[in-house]
Amino acid sequence: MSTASTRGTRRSPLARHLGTLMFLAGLIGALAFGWIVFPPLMYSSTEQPIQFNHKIHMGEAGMACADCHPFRDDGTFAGLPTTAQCAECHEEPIGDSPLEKAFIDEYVRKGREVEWLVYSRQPMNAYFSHVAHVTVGKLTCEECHGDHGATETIPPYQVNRISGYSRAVGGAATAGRALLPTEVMRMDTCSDCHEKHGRRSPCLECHK
Amino acid sequence: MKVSRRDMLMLLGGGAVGTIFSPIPWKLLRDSSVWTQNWPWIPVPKRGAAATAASACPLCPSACGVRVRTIGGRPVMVAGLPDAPGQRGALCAAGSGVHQLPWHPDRVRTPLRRVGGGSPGFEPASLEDAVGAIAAAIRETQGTVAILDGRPGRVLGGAYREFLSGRADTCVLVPPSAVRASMPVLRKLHTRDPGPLAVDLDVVDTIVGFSAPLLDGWGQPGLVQQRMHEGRLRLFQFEAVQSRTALMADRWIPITPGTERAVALGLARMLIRSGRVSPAFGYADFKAFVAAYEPWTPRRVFEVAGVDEATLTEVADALAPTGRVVAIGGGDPAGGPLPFEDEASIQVLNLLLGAMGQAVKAQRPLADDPADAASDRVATRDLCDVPDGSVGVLIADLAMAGATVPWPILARKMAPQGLLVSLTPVLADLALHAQWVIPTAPAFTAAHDCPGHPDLPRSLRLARGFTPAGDEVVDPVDLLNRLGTALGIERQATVADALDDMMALRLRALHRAGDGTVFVAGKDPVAMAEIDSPEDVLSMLRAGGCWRTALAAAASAEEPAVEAGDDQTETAPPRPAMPFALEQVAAKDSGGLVNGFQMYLIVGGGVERTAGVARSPILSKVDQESGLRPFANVARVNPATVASHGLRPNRRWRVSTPQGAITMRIEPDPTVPPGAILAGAEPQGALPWNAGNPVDLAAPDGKTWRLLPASITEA
Amino acid sequence: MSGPKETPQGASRYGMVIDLDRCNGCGACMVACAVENNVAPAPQRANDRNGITLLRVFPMRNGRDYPESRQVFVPMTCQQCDAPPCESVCPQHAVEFDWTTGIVAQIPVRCLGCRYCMVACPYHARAFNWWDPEWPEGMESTLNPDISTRSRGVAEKCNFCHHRRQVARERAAHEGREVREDEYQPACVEACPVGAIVFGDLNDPDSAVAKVYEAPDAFAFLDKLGTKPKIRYRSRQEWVHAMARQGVPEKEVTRG
Repeated sequence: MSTASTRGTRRSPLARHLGTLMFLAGLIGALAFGWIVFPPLMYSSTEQPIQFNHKIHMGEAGMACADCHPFRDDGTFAGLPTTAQCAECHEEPIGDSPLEKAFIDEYVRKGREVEWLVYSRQPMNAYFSHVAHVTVGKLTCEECHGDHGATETIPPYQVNRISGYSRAVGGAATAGRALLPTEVMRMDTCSDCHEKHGRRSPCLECHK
Repeated sequence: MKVSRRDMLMLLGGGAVGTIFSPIPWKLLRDSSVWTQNWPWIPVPKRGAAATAASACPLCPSACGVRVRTIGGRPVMVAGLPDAPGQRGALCAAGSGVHQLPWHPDRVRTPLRRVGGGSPGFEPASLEDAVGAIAAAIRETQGTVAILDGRPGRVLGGAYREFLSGRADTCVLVPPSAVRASMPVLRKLHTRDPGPLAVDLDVVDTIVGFSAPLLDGWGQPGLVQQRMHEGRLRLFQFEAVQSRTALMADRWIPITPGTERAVALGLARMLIRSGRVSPAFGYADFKAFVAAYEPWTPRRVFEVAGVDEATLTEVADALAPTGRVVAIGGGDPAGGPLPFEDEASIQVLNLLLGAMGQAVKAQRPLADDPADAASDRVATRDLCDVPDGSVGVLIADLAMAGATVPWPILARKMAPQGLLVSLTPVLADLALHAQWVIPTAPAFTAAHDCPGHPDLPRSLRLARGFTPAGDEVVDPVDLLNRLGTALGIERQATVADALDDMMALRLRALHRAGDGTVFVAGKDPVAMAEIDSPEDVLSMLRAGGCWRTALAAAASAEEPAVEAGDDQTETAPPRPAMPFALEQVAAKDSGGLVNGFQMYLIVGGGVERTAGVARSPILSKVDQESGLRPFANVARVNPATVASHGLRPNRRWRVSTPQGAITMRIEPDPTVPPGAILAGAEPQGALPWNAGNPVDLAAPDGKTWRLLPASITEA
Repeated sequence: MSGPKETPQGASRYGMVIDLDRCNGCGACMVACAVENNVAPAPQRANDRNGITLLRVFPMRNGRDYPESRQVFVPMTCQQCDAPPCESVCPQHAVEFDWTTGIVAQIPVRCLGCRYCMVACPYHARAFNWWDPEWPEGMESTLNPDISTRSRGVAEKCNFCHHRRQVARERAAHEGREVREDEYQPACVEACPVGAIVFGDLNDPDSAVAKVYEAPDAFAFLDKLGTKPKIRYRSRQEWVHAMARQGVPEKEVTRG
């Protein structure tokens, strides 16, 4: 065995701690890979069909969220506006933005709907009521959707390669915290908030 | 410095520990488990704005109003329309799945031409080829050119007659169930035609049912049962099988299968002898009439039908000639009508009990209704009454029939080289025998009219289209127009280009007549005369409204029930005051079993099983996954018969009638009389539960198929 | 095991009364239930033992022969027990006694398919997805978005159409009022053409169901097991009561 011949020979401190160092290297390497490199690899990114500037609508145009994202008469949330709703203002270009012109040419004139990729769409087994949270619970839009009303561009839609969930819905990692500020719609996020407000909910409250 | 194997292991070990404390395994695990909850091949329901719309169920002549829940304009649920007249929010199982019919797996997508001889199939063809072939057959045939209208009363019926009126030797055929329903038979018992008759359920307080499927598709099942529960309607049911109607009846009186006539005659004799005959009953020769009934003593009724004198007396005593009692036969929508003589014997009870003018009322025929167009030029006949082998070309429209037409009966009417064309949305049942199949619009894809039941006051609802029907669907009116062009037939001016136009014509005629009332759920009824324009009528009917004709005033003696004739003295020679000899009816014994067949096959199943209606596959929940209505050729046999014949339920058995045999499973059922085999009619098609239809064993007499002599042998 | 003692004040306790003397066995409730809950048509190999029928109507017979035979039709669904035997056996917390409604909630996405609950249920009211649901091409456009579709390998059962309650609550909240009784009715209740099923909040003494719940002819199936069902049946026929004490009617049908 080689141990017999190496015993007693002098080794440099580096060599003496080489094993520990290698262990640490492996540990740090794996942690770094796992925490920094790996999570983005799990998501595929898709650009939205067309860009949108929330800031200009909220700021210059002075609109509120509910102007384009309203409730229907039966209390359900209508979500994203249809092209027809956009065309109520944008029948003809208002500004000189090339994006606006492209939108009008591509969608308004052709009567097509934009196939938006919805970041925060819940999976089919989850039930979410905007009325319960906004009208009754007095939550602001930003508390769940982040301050995207102030953004000038919309980010790409990221979807988990395995689960197929949007990153905003199923994105947070095992550590129990979100890696991105938009990753707010996990079940844990919901239940933590319910717990905080003293509303312990049975499963059926949110699952269907 | 040398990196040893041990150092490498340390590196890997560190990597492993690091991996455990990184999201990698946990996220993979978590995402994989989420993946298993969301298999990509499991459909995800589409979201959208929810709304409710009203329409009509086209499946059967009950023509129930329906409330349709839509998501983004797509129908996702159908329920009964509350407050609709006559129906009160009731809807049957088949109606509850009607919105799924556009996606029936057997949906016809293109005109089909029959190919092959031995095991025939179909190949797609163009509409031009179809029109050419049908026109050529019409030109060349020596036989009758006929259209089988499975649902008489539609505006299409008028278009069919208009088309046929351009040629000699034509007729419109209707399913026997429509011609031999209770009220059409009662109408025929008069020497002078009283016009169309209808049961006024608002007046009726007692129904005497003779195997009448009151909860299985006669008229308005929901209304009948709800009124029974409210205590406003009594039901005495004479029936061999303990059907759902019999179970719910105030009194179920079991009879020997096929002896409805004997019971009706015996009951009539009791009413006559105890003097409980309405003064309005004006038969010319009452003595002869009484004499004709004399042989039907309680003893004879007991021998034939198994109903003892005490029971019969009990029922007779409960009936009074108040005019509020109505007797109904009607037969089973799937098992077919009763023989004409049986139904006539039952309807005589209505004359005796003075139902005419009260429980039964005459309806005003509507002038220039396009649905009645050309009825003077083209005869409308019971399919069973056409001579065998006489029909050269038959265009069969059973798309919304609600009544069975057995293939053996149709087959014997066709000439040897006859051409059968089927207009159908679904390739099933009779369409499987056709030479040409023309795809028509399935339920919920196109607007059309839904007339009501032949025994009830004339009514009309409109069914709406929710889902686009697709380009392949052929409008029957358009087909007729193309055929007319190909044949060079001069057609009448009322004929429109499409079904939509015909419906507009019909509403204009209804509005012009100003007859009846329009009911819209949740609103006050409006008399037709008070509605401003036909367009308003259309919009009311589109909103789920229902038009119903006004009935003649109650208790009128102006139209004697039976024409007395000039000479009313009792000394005058006896003569039939009816279009057939009642004496013969009375004397004719109920038929026994044909040689060699020791059992009866009773075909039933109610309106949900009618052959013309292809039901949504979701009905498999009832047929296949519950013990409620055994499907797929299950023969239900009394346990005593099962034991005495050694019919082991785990084997396959052949049920034979003089027309043929099919293989069935036996299920013991104590609600079936000993010696009988109860089987539900099944539309024939590609679905697993459509394997064989007992209706195909039908009709040795060519007229009825509810009760067939049968035998069972091991398969 | 959770039970009614946990029920907080002011919460609902939904219950149902089914009049067996009214039910004529038409099956409309079964179809409406399947349509409402996104149940797929039966595959060819499905039968009454392995199919998905959250609500199933059994014929129950008095055991006598024609013409003395009588039958009633028993719509059998989850009995929404106050002491549900299926809840405690679930290793996954996929079954939960909902203390705000009294509904025994089944959450199919949590289910791992062990079927302990099906063994535990004395009413055979649970169904197991032996196969993936399959709709004829295009028919998936008729699916109800208020409830999810389920996949192969999970158990499911009646949740009293709880999603309809959510829809009703949402609308009521939007309009700033309470939910009316007629707004939340399961699909089977809505579909019954003869009004044999009454549904509502048992905690509300004015509800239609509370008025008939304690009727002298009302009874629960398998009362002796102590499951405390919130579905009760009514009949004036004594033999029906006798049969109901014994067990699930007609023939032994064990699912799964």
